[in-house]
Amino acid sequence: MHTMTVMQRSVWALLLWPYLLTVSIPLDCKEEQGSLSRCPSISQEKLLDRVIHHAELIYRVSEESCSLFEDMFIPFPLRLQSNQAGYACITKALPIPSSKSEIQQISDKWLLHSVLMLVQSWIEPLVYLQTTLDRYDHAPDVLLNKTKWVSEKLVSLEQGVVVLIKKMLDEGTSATTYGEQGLFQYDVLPEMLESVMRDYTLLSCFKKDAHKMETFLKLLKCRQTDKYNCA
Amino acid sequence: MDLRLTGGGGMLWLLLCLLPATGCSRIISQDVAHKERHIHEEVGAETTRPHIYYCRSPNMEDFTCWWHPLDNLTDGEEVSYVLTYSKDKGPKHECPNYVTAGPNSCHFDSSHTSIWKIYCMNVTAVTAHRNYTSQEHCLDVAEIVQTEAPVNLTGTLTDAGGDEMGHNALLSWTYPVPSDLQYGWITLVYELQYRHVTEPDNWKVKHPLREPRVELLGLPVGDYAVRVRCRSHNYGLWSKWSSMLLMSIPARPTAGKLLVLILVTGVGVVALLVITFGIIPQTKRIKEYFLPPIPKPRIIGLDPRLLKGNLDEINHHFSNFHSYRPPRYSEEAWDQVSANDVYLTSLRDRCVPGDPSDREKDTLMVPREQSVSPSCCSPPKAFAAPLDVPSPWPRPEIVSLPGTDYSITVPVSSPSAFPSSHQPQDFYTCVQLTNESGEVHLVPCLPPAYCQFPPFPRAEADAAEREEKKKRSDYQTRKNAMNGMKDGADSDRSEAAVPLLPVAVDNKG
Repeated sequence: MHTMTVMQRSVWALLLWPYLLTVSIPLDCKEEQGSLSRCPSISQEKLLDRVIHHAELIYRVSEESCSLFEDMFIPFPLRLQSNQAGYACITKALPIPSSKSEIQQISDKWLLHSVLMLVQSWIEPLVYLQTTLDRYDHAPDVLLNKTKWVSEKLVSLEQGVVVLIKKMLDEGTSATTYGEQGLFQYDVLPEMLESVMRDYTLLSCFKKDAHKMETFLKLLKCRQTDKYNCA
Repeated sequence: MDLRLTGGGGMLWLLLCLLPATGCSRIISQDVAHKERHIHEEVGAETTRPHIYYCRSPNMEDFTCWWHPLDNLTDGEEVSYVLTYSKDKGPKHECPNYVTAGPNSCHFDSSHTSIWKIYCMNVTAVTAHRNYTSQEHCLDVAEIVQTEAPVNLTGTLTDAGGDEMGHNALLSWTYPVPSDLQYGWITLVYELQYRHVTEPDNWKVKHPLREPRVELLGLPVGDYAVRVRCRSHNYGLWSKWSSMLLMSIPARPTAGKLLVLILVTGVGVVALLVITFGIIPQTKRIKEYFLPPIPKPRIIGLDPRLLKGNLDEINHHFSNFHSYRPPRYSEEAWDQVSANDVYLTSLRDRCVPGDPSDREKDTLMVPREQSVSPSCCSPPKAFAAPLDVPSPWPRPEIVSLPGTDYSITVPVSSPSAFPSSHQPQDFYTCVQLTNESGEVHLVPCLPPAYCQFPPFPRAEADAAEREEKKKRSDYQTRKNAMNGMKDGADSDRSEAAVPLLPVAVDNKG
């Protein structure tokens, strides 16, 4: 009798499991034409793809802006090589991994947080850069449009990374305003008297950091698919 | 207990069968219910409540949604619509812009558009009596991206001449909003379809195309309909088709091809004329250039100029040969031949050193060939036989083989003319046999029995003389002809040699 009830209950449980499954686990997000999508939020893969797309474009456009600025305003002997101006970047104080071995050892969580730090640090300086460039006499429209576009997309990228962090790491958005730490101060670079050189340094540093963001995000994506084979 | 067991077991089995079915059917029914509701909504949307039917983003930076309004309104009833949305189950907001996209629409600009979250919205129709709220509609902005249709679809024929296969056509188009494409925000991929106007459903597809142009190769002659559409590479839906382009491929060859044909023909004709009138007349010279004539035979050490005048030299050179007699070049001496006694007179004349005074009229003048020293007499061979060929004036050294054209000199016992002590080689040899292969068998010539001469009948003397003259003249012409066959410069030398050759002329000659 006792065994019978136990058996019955277990059988009931066994029989009912598909029913449970159908109720508890949400259905797959149907990709219908914008209607009746029952997903609560966008999937993680899609978010990551879109974030990477943003980062790629931001890096490419910032590279174009930097070379445009260099060609127009910087005489040849004063041009910075790729490894020179790291000391003058505003983000040098951030705890961001820089060497390849460091990057490989870092966890997913810290990758994402590094990206977020970088993004949030650059939003304000880019707005400042835009205002200074507007004051130039001969700045071409192409350059202005590019920097404007980049600063807009950077804001969008920040939003995306925040959403991604919330999804991947299940963290809240409380402690993610790195931009308010006041990294960017006008007197950080006292030796750069000329505004042109300061702007040029700003653009080069941003270009480097944009490349870092892109690299981190791509590494993150690589780790999603194949954990042990990513460089 | 057994009954309960069996009863319970039976019920259990029944439930076993039913529950999975129920579970599955629940899944299905959910979908069905959704679809039914959807269809119901579509059918009854105008009547019962508004329905958001279409949302679209042209560039992933802003989007618009449209809804169907209420339909069962009594006249004069005012209705206003309120659209509320939330992102990822966040707080509700109202539509920021009801105006830009027309009536019954809501436009979200770039500051209100986020591609990171799902929008869920519904629209409420507010009337005096009650509110009608539409069903919730959720969307992902990147999924509803539908780019604009391409414009300015044009086609040009690329190869002017064309061939039997048809023409090549270059098709190109543009995207109407190029600012969306800058910085690579949207990367477009195109699809082009074309068909013959006579085949309504046989579309040929060119996909994927990255550039806003494509070249169609080898289109057969005819009329074609072409259309193109585009899509963002990563996100979204195909755009609407562009306006249809009608293109016709012409059939006839264009002027360019005709011109080429005429040019080639003209050049060919000119070349032919040049060859005909320029080269063919020069064939002889060309032939001499490529096939030079065989050089004349030369005897080493002998200057050809000597041959013309200096016979002593020749005689000296040839005296080494065994049976060489230096020829005597003299003027032609005409011996008188009397009609009566041709035979005897000539013989006597020959044996006695010539006395030209005897040679008078009424005698036939017969040209005398070169004569060697008249030391010996031999009966003239000219009248050897009526059938026999008339031989030259008798000389002891000259003999002829009967029936042949060749004559030889017989070595004479008196070696006066020949100071040579050795006889290495006969100067003259005779051909005894001719093989089929063309070889000749040479032997020293033997003296024929030349001293017998049949009596010459008097009655036939005239005829014989005439015949002889005729034959002699024939022989002369033959000799001249023979000389002519050789090189002209050798005529003198051959003249020296020829008298030793037979004067005898064949009957057939």
